[in-house]
Amino acid sequence: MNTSEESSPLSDSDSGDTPMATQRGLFRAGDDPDPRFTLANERTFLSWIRTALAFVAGGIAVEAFTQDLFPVTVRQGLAVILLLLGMLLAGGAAVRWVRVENAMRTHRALPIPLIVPIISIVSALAAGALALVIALAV
Amino acid sequence: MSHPPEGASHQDPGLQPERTTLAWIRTMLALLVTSSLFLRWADVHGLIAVTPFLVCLLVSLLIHLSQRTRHQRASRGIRDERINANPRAVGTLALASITISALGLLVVLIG
Repeated sequence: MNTSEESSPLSDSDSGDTPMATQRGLFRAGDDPDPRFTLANERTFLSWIRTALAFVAGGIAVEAFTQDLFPVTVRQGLAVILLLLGMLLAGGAAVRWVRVENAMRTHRALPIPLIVPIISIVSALAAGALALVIALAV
Repeated sequence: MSHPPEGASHQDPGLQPERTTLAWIRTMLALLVTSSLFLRWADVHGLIAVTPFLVCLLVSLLIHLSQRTRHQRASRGIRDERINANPRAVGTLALASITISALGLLVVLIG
């Protein structure tokens, strides 16, 4: 048995027949889904993480690079909102991953991601607020 | 690219193992970009910004080190038609992302 298999927390779990304790607790009993669906679920999770990181990067950028454009409170407020959203997205991504994995195992319909309409609305509001602030500052 | 690992070739025409590996690489890149922004933040907020920068780097390194194993597992999973899901990787990455944004919030609020 290759001893490096379990060393990194980010490498895959054992691919033998016995599921790991975390999986037994995390997933309801059911059938193993098609491995392609498990991989697709993982890729979707990674896409959401990258989206979360983009919000975090946006929060940092607003805070660090708009010193002269906005008053302090606006700048900090925007940065906090973006960073909070990034945090929520990262957590939501993991929750979504578990729910989808369970749905696949128990042959149920996949859960609708609640985050999509929320992000759309928040992004539209943020863009509108930004436009307003810039228009008022001119 | 180097030769594929022995015994891990698969028949999936959808190239799922490759696409999943690429997805991890893109995530690692996103982490590196975010880390460099934190470093730029150090100009404004000082050394406290170095902590999230280091966390980003550490997670990127962990992802990089586990890439080969991950690809081998995915290939074997396709070939054997079953694969274990990977809650440890998912949990670690989600927790790391949450920590990074929390550190960022901390810097904004007290900086």
